[in-house]
Amino acid sequence: MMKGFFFTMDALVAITLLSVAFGVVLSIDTNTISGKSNYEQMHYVTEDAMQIFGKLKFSDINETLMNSIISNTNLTTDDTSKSLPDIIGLLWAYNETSYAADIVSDVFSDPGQLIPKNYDYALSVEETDNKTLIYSTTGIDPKNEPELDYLTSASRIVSGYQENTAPFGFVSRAWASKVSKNASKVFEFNPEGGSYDPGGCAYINKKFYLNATEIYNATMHISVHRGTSAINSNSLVVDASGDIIGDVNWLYTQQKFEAGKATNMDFGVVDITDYLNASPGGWHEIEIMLKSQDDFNTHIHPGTKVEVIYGTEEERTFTGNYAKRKYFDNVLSDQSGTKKRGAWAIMPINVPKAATVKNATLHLRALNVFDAAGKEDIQIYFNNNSILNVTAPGATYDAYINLTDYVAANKNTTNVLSVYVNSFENDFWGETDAEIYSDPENDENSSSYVYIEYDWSLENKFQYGYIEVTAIEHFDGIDENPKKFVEDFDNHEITSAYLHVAQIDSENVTVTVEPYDQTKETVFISQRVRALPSTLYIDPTYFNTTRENNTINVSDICLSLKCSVLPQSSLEYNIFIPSQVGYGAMFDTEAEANQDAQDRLNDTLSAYADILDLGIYLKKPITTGNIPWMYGPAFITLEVWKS
Amino acid sequence: MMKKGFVYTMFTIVAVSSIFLVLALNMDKTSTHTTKIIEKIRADEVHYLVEGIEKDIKRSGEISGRRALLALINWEISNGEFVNVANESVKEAIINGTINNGNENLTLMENNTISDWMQTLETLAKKRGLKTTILIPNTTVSMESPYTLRVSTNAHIQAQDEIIEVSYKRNTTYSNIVSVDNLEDPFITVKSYGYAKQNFIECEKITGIANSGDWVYGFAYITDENNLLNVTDKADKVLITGTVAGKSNFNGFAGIVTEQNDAPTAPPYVFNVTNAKNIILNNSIMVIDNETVWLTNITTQPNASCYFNKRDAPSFLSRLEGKNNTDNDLGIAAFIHVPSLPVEMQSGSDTYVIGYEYFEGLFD
Repeated sequence: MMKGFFFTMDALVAITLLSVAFGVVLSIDTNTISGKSNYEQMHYVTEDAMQIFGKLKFSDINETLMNSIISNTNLTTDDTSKSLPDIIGLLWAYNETSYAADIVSDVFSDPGQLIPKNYDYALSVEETDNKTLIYSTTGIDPKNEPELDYLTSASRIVSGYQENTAPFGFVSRAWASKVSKNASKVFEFNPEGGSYDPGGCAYINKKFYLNATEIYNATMHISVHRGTSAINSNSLVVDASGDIIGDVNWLYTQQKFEAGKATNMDFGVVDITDYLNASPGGWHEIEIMLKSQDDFNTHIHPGTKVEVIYGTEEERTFTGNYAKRKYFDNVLSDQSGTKKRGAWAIMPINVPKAATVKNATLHLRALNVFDAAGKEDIQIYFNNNSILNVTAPGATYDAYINLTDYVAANKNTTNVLSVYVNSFENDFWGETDAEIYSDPENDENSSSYVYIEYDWSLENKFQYGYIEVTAIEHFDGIDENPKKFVEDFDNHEITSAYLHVAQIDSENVTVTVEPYDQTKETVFISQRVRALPSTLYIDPTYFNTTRENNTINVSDICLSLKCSVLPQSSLEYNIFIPSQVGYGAMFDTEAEANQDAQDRLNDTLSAYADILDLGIYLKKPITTGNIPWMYGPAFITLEVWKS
Repeated sequence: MMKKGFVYTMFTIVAVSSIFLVLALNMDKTSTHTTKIIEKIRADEVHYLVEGIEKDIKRSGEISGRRALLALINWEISNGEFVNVANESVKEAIINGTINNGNENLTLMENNTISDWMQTLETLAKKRGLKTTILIPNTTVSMESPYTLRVSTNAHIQAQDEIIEVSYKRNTTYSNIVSVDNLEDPFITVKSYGYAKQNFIECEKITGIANSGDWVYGFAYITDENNLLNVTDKADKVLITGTVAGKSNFNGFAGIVTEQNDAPTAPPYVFNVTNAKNIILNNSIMVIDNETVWLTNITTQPNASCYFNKRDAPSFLSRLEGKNNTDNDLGIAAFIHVPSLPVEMQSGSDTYVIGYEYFEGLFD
């Protein structure tokens, strides 16, 4: 019985031990151990695959696929040396992800087989807030896989790419320049005249040169004081036109009675385009013949001018410093017998403030000068300074008079040089046909002229990034004396300003400028009778361009009639306007970049539309390509899993 | 007998207990191994991130380098000014997108600087529980060639896994070669008050073998005539011919280019220029520069200009500073068409002049 007890106990111990051992063995999870080993292996596979992928170049893939991509996308043969992550980035940027998927499949599956077949994988491009799936063996993003045991990933960084955006592009800027083929010029007749007793004639002859291929428009404004009784005997000849005085549209007419004698003051306009266009390029000639009246010389009033707009192929010439002759018009006083006559003319002289005057010389050649006893037959004034008086001058008077000091001392204002031959103001005593001689076309050196030479830094004429444009504002309204003109300069920076005064009659003129809320300043006073030039220079500092209501007042102290200032008077001023825009946004094509630049320039110029005809300003773009953008960085991520 | 049974039982208990002990020890080891795998994987991720940064930082340098040049040029041509120290300005633009020591932002560098790149990278890495720190203690900018710059950068890269506290550091030095190709020349634009504009486009060139080591230019005069006595304005022309052997009166030309090897001549020369007569455009302006013949293809009509090497001319960096000379031999120059300028800027009688020389003395 004891043996059976021990055998039974033995068996019980054995069973107990076996049961415990069995239970221990059952508790071991072999899947966990092998799963963790598989995960580690998968991780290495993923990293190794990504390492290789990162080192492969575009030229390493299937050649047929590579050529197909080059043929059908924006990639070129220049890209064959790029790494595959860069190629994926490029194709993703160009929205050619199907080709990117083909590369991925080619490398990681067949034939590259960097990922074993028993794994699934996906490649995506991941930005900070967006992820694009390029390729997945299951067709879906692994995060959406329903049954996924293990997932590992490896990433590489790529910069310079953004989805659906070209990585390189074009940028443009644009600037405006004047169309150089259209030019405009104004040829002015300053007050001048001659003859005196009735029956005489004053011949005023102007020659000017145009380097023109075609005259688009030429308008003559003519303001004269002439005898009434012979009013139909005057003439106007333009080149080979014959007398066209009958074509003048006389806008203003006024008669002046002095000592019972009548004279006419008339202002009119006439189109002379066709006459000049008969031979547009070369010298042109305009002759005005006016008949004189009793006790009054016949002459040109302020406002007489020719405005020409023309096309040109002008070859530019060197103008390093300013050195120019301003020719007088030829003024002939024609009379019969010993009737009184004489010739006179004025010329404005203006030199910029910053200029260094090197030379200012008057060359005067007067013909048929009458030697009147006790009279100063030649008189020359610089403003109100008598600078030359000649008695007994000889029939032909030819002299050079140095004006340098006078001009140098009076810069930045309009100076008036007055030349009198056998006359002074309303006093005429000549008994020969005196003439202020000038023929710049055929005899330039013998002509009467003022030579001005000064050094002026060209930098004063240019402001970087701006072009100088000219605005012309007519006084408009009615003829009146005094006449006010109010201008708002819209805060433009004015570089220069010129006043063109047109009058029906002219004696002593005062021009003032009154800027908004500031003191009125006098900018010009006639020094003598009829010494108002057709153009007056006004220093821009007289204006307050930041405010409205800059008032220009032109008044004449006419003792007799109104001496009306005409609405055809005008203010011409130059301003700098911004003429360029810098490089802007990047565009895929050069055409888009150019259009953007021109649009931005148009926006800039539109602020000046009131004084600009945008159509005449050529806008040129300049473009630079191959400009990259710092898109990214982004991750190119390879995810590998086993379901 | 009882004792034997007891011994056998005890033996069995000890043996089985030993087996249990071994099994238990193995289970602990598996758990530790798993933790190590996770750490290894994260460490790999940090490592490869640093490696990726090291590779990609160079790409970001390429992008920001090219854009920095564009941005600086844009600033200069918009303001009509030059920078004081060009290489420092390029460096500041690349890293910070500013100019004049941070006083002004360069609009074209917005979102395009190295700093912007680093910031985006930090955001990306953070999504994966990684922290990146990149320091750039030193960047130098210098001329590499007449048409390229070298931007050399030291970078300290650190990536850190904040969970398992693994950190990886690397110091790296990289260089980018940044091209100035097709960028606008600010020197010409600013000096001409905006009236002349040129892009840096290198002229075509051909080379010979024997040369006199000179730099000259002139209009190409292609001929094989033997007696060159009656050729006018020789001093403005470069003779292009098969050989000067047997020819007379060729002294007086600005230069000579032959297709064959010739004996040295008095005028500057380049010999052995293959197919020169067919490649060079007759009456075009050309430059002889030692063994190189630069072809501008400019004839008498206004044409897009291109740049050629001229050692004493301002280099690209000198042009950014508005200087008309250079402290290296990497100067470049181009011709400009004088009649295309405003009248007030036209000086002299030549139709084409070397741009930087012309504008430098224009308003003196």
